Amino acid sequence: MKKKIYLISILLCFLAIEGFLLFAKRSETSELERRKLNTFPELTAEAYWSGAYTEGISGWFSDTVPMRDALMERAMKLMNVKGFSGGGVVFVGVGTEAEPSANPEGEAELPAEKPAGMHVLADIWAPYEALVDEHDRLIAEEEAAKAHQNQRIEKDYNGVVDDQYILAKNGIIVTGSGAQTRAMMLYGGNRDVAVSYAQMVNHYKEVMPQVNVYCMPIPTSIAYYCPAEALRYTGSQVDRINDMMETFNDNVIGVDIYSVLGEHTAEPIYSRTDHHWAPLGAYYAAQTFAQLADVPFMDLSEYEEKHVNNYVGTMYMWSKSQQVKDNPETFVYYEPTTLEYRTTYIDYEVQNDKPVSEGTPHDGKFFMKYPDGHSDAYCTFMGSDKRITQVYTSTQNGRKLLIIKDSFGNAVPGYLFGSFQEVHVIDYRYFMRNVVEYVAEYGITDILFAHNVSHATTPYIVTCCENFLTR
Amino acid sequence: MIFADLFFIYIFLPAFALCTLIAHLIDGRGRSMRFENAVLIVFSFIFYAWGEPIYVFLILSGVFVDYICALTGHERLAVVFHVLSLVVFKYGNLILVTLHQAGGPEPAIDIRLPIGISFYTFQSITYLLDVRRGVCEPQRNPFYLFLYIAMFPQLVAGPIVRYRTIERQIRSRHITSADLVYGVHRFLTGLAKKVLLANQLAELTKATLDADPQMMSTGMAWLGIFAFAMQIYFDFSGYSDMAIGMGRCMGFHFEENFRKPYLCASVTDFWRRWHISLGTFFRDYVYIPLGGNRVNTSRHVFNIMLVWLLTGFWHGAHWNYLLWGLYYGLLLLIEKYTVLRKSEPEDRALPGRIAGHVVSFFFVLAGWGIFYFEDFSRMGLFFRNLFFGNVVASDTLCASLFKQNLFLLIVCVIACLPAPRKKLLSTESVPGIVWSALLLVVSTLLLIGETSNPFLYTRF
Repeated sequence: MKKKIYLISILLCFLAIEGFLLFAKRSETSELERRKLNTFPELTAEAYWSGAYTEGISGWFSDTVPMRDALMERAMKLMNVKGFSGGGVVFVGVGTEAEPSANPEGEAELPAEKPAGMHVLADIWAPYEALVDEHDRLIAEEEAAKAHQNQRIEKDYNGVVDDQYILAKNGIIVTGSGAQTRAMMLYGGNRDVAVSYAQMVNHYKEVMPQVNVYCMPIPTSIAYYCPAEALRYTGSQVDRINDMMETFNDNVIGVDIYSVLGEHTAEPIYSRTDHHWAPLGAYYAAQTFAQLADVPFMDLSEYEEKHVNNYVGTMYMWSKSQQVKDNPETFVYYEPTTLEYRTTYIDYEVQNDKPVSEGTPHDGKFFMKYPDGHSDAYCTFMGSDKRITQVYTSTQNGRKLLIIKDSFGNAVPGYLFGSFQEVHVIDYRYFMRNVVEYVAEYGITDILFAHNVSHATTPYIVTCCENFLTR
Repeated sequence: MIFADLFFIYIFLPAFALCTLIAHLIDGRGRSMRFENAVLIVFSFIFYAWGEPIYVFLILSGVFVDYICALTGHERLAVVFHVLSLVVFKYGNLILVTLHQAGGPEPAIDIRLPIGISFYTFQSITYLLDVRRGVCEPQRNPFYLFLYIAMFPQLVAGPIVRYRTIERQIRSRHITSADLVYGVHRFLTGLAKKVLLANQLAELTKATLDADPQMMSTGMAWLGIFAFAMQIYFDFSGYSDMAIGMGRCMGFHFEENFRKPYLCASVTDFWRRWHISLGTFFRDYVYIPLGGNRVNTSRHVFNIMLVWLLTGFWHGAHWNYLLWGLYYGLLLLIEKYTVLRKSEPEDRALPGRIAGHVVSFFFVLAGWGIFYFEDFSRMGLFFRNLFFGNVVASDTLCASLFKQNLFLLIVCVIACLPAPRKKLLSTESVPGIVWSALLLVVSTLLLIGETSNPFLYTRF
């Protein structure tokens, strides 16, 4: 009798799960993984004999489980209990937060007051001083711009953080605790590919000498926030950027944003829970680029600040770290309010993540609005990589910019509507046309490469961008 | 198809159970096995064809050759066929690449390993040799022979079942509720071993042993090899548990494949506890026919080294497996020809027994180092780090990973120990029922989204 009770109990449990798996609505997309889930495979002789068909059925069944994301979150929570110290997260190293700077006596330094007499002199010479100030500012800006053009970077921000960390899944390190939690992907890229990437950019300038060509390698967060103890697990992005800077020929303008962002690491320039940077980081990068391109640039005060609260990005799913999930951040982005612009999209039809055709142009919003808690908040800019974006602005200076980018580059164009008459954005993974013809067709005057350093040191990107020149 | 997969558990198995139930009723509740066996044959065919649509013809041709040769007295010919098919399909790539490295032509083809070939060819060989020796009669029903060779529970990763073990059960078997309870419980235990332990340990193994060996600290090397030892044990024994459990639910009594191997008191003892069906295969079909230990010393040494060379090489088409086999051959020779042979571990005093356990486990762990690294330069660096330290690397990450996985490691160690005499979670008690249900639910939860979840031993 007791045996039958056991069998019936397990059978009922099994049937309950079976019923749920078979009859509940199957999932089609995963917000956690930001992808469409597997579809039921198409039966063809080739697919069958290669095993892809049957494998596809098994994969589809496992991938499209009803309430997939919610159940996976439960599973991840369970699996975080593999060690001790709540959630399986254990920290090593010392110190958690950057200490405020202090003088040797331990008191914070305050700006020195001006001598009282200075005010009088200042009043008399005010118009002249204003001119001098403006002149100095322009000189300073020019010098600052030059400082970021094709220069070898000497200051390395690697390892300045003295923090706790753990190594989570998929080569991700999680540092800090509480609201200081930050997940970062380890970096690995070699010199040869970095040089090839820079040579590819040079090739663009050779093929299109009439166009200004800029290249802005975008560091990923680990270039700044990697704890000293964990440095040996990640490669040096500074070295790779320097490899590129040294390879660019004289006519290509390499934009060093590594040094610029390095001065702002105390600000939220990188997402803590997503692999991308934050829109604020992109602002400083766009500012540096605009200085080098010698175009006007709108101050951040001319934008409206918008928030997506409780944002947890890709790093939760990839690292499966409960600590990341438990410490959401606010995704802050900036929409221009003082100028008019029109955005036109040309969407790709994509099959198996490969573009097969282009759709007809249609107008849309450049900035998408995501609700609080939505893990796709970074898609605010243009909504997708699988499209050509053309922004027609009210700026009338004859400058037309083409940005060849990956998803990091998505955050940049929104700051350049006041700088260029037209801003065109294409993604290297999906662009289907000949770039030389595109440049000629739209009268492009400037090309900016905006890829993160991880992508920029993969052979695939070099091949893709080279192909754009000849296809 | 693999066992630790939602499609297998929730589509294939229920469909098979339903069809078997209907066949059971048609057969007159066990008076005949005709339809039940037919269902098992069809589902075994589907099971293999699901993963290997083309290589299913290879297994069919093997069964055909076995059938004809066993009936006509040409068993040796069939054995040659199986050995050749192993050489071609398992070692073909290695031979071509080695020839190329020696100056030969570049390999023109890439031969993919058919899943389970190492296991089902060995089952065929045991059948053929047992028939030749007169231990059993040749099977006159080709479908039943297919059933023996390709029965889905043990097809792709063993245990290597002898024909004589299940010869009678193919024709007639009786399933009691005790069999069902045992089978279900064993299946769930195996599933949990794979999903809850082995899969989690795999991450720890990857984080430690796949790290840059130049930067691997001594602690990390030890942690990594310990994690891998646990991973491979729970992965493979989990599969065996599931196979034995499913077999029992169908009325088959497969022999055990593992008996707490890490409790071994000597290296010889380890191989009496680890992958028992493979060890006994080599003992009965290679070692003893070569003369075993009833020969002079040099021949005995040759016999042992040959058997262990073959055992090592059976595990994979890479030279490190050969080295692994030779390593065990040497260790066993040391045990047989030194002072260690004078006493069986259980006859030793307590300190001697403890030392035996510790030293054996140490050598088993070191052996897994040879087994894990197919690249000899990485293997060399790993052993340097393991035994001689690495001044460049610090143990910070090792400490972090250790603490992060402490519960997991403790559970694994406990699961390697002997079960308490009084069962805490008997299937006849409420906690036992809850425990089994929990294993099913949690394992299912962890399989969601896992589209690739292979067992380590299916690749051998």
